[in-house]
Amino acid sequence: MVEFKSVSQLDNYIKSYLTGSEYLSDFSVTGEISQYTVSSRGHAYFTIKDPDSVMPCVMFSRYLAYTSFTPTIGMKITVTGCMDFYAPGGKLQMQVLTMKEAGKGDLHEQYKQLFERLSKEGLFAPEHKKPLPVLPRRIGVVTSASGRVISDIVNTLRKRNPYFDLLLYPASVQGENCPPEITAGVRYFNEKKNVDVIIVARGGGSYEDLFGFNDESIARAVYECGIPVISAIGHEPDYTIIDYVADLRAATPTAAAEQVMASYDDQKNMVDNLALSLDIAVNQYLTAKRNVLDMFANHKALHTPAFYAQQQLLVVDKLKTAMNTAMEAKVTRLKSEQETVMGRLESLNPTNVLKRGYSYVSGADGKAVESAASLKKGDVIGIVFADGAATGTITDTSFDDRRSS
Amino acid sequence: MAGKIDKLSYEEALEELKQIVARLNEGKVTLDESLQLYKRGNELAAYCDKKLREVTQKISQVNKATGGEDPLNIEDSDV
Repeated sequence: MVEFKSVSQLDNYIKSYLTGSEYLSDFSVTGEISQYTVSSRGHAYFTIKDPDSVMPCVMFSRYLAYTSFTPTIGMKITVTGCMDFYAPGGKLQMQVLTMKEAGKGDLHEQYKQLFERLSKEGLFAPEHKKPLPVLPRRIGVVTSASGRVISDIVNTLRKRNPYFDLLLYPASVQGENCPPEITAGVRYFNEKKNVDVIIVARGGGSYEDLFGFNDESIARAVYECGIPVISAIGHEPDYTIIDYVADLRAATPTAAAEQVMASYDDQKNMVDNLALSLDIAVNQYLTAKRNVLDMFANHKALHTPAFYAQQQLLVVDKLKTAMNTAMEAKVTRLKSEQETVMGRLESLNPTNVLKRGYSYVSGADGKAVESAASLKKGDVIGIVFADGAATGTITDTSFDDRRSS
Repeated sequence: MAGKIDKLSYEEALEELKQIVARLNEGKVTLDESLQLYKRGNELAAYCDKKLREVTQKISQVNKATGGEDPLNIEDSDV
């Protein structure tokens, strides 16, 4: 048995043992930073770990000065250096000489090359991008069947409105199966043509986690797809190749669902506004006509125009009666849908005209009959009353000369 | 005026409705025409509205083994 004279001697022996070791005097290792502090003198003290083990490290300021990035906790790094025994603390630690982000160099280089090649080929061209469908009746989604992404999308759609139909193509969103399965999903929808828009989505993750979407086959499938594709990979700052090829890039899966529904909401508002504009327009039209006629009618000196005006007033009343029919159909529809515009519609409804004893005569063409002169014996006419309608045949006509002027 | 409304696409119906509103606003139509336009406009609006609502909520997923579509159950949750 060896007998060390002192603790210092033991420690010194360990130091020289490490220095003499072929493996421990010059090596590299990769791990995740789990603690990181920089001392007042500028030296970095940190630990790197994997799921089972931890290694304390020190990097002196003169080496740290050459590191091109700011190390942060959770970052995966590859360090080179040697093992050292810190005698005052009785602690084994790694003395780090160089540090780089693990794998990132290579992946980023791959990404840049692919980006430049596809960009030159025109896969990212804005003029190739398709607009989203006006009315997305069916939404295709390519993402993982498990996890939050699909439920976030479905629940966002549900929150916006209940009228949607969604078809999920389950695909891996990470690892080696990701590129082929995502590609297959996009191609599936493109071949089946069974959706109006496609969302390709994945939740947030590390650079490496999202790297599957920097893939040429995915990019080409999206480019060749005849159906508009929305990409939603990771979070706001994350960009992958698919985001440049897609017709629209959404910041998150939830944002993608909202984009799809925004188009729907726009349409709903447009139809509602047009229906309202139609009512307003026809009312303004009739009011304007009526005002002109009232003016003539009140002017007793102008006999001929007065006759004309009276006749036209009857036409207006007939017209309003017929409008009433159209209005009532509309009111019934709106009622059944519990719309709140009911009150407004009824306020402009020119009812009671028929109830006052007027009736409305229509010709074979369905148009209002405005003149006896336009009818002849044998013509079939329709008569609309307050409580129903009747059909009749003209047996005779008489013609009032004064009123025809 | 164009033909049967139910032969129109949603987009076509919407476009015709826009034109009808524009013509009524212009006011250069006869009384009889205004009635026809109003009737047609109302029918178009109802048709567009129906088109917007005709999709019933359905959530399904592609069954890669059979090539068919299976229902997919996703629970309601706050997003």
